[in-house]
Amino acid sequence: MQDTKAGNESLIELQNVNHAYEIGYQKSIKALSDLNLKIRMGEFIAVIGANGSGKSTFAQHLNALLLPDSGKVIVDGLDTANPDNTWAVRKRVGIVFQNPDNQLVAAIAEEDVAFGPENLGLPPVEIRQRVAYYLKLLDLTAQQKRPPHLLSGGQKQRLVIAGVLAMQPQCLVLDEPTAMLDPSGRQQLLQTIVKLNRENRMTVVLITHLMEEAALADRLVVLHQGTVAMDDTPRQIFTQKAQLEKYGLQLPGLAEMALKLAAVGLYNQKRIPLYIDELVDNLCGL
Amino acid sequence: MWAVEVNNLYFTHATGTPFEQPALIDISFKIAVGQTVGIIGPTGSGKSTLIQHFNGLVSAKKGTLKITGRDIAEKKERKQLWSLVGMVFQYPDHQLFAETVYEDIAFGPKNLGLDEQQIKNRVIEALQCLALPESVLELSPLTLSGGMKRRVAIAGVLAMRPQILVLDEPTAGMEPVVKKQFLQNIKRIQNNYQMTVILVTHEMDDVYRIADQLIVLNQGKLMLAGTPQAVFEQAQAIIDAGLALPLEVQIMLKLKQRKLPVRSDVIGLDEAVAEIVKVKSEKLKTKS
Repeated sequence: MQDTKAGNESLIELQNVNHAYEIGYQKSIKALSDLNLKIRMGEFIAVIGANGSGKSTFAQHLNALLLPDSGKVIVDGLDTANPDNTWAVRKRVGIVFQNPDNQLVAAIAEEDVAFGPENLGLPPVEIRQRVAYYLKLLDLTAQQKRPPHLLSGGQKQRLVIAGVLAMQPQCLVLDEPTAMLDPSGRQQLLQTIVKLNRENRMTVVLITHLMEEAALADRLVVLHQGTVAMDDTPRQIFTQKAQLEKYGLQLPGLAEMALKLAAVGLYNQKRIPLYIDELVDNLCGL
Repeated sequence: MWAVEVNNLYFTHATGTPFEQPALIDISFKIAVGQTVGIIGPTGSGKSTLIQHFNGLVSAKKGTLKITGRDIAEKKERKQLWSLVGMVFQYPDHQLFAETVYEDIAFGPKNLGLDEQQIKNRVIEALQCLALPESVLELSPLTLSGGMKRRVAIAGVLAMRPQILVLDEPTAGMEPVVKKQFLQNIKRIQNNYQMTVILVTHEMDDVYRIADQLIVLNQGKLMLAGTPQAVFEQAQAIIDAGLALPLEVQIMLKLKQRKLPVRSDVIGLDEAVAEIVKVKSEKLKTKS
């Protein structure tokens, strides 16, 4: 699959990655099973899969929070299994988790963003510049002096992202970042993610179980039993309803609606809609 | 018979400190026994604070709250709340504690004094309701994935068979297939046991399709209350409050803008399709 926006250079490579969790005496559950994937610079990838398909385990392999039992994860040429590389890998790949409360450390918003750069040992002037820049990028300048716990869920999640970006990683990994947000918080966060990829050329890996979110990505990877089961554009993947259901997934509501309309001859089914306007245009004969 | 009666309820966070902030302002509503009620509202609108009143985790600063007719300001009534009202919080990890999934789900029923067989029946039923395979029973809950943990936490509360089941964002982190099954099963259990279900959620599509009544909170105040259709008819107010419209309503409103005179209060995709078919064929008839 060729993508025009993304470069050909692969930023992260997972080669035959296996990972199992010990769950008691001589018992284990296999979370990743011979997983192979190349993530290229500048790509926007959504990763989707049923509960227990290995999504979160996969995410944590991207910045050496977890290491493969066998196989390799190579980030920008660095093997994550080599302890000497751990910090270099984490500098390149930043992760945002589901619950922002677990990831905020400071008493004031701007201090939280400064935490990472401070730990990189940057000069104060540079830290100040980065903090101001990333707060502005995430639309949080007005909140810079506020304590994080008084921010809304969406603002907190954006603050976490600002803090991760202030380390200037090459890749941003988000593990179900909108699960706890209200609809407008969700909408704003998704717009921010899209903007970071399109305008700031950030490589984005979005782990989600919401098909509507996956539809925003350039490339959609479906995980099933710890391995890559499908890998294509969202529009292509949404044409394979039966296959998705086999993996415990469903079409987005909009695609489902288009199929139902097609069944009664009211929708030209060639192109699965990703946006409501596409469906409405088609219905109104435009 | 009312499961919940709330009258002029007020609650303030951190009273007497510089961080004092009103969380609930003059809230009144009633929920009838056996209903499914959705509580929706943007983050910070007071939803979680409100439901924490239902099992006595916080008590009203002003106003009254009755649960199945009991005024819970009375201390002796409050103790009863814990068996009457089952609550599942947003972060299920905080609610799991036993060594195996079986023990975790069985903990509640055991404390109700049921015998082994009854306990087992309840565990199995709860398991089925949440579409969990029996093979998870012997695992430690902490080894499960996020979505599975959530389902185990809900199963544990369901096994208590509370009269009122309060779920705070129950479907966050559930994949679509499981979610659909879960919502259907909740409906079934509710019918079987005349359970009242209160659902706090950001998932407008779900709540629109399964709730009998909706309560919309915004900035600590009751903004709207009524049937899902009546609530989402106030489309602009809903959007202005930072919420969203259900998919079928969004589609129908857009079609209306394009001069296709469809109803926008359809529930579910099938009803939406049927309505579009009807209106389109009428249009064809009048043309010919």
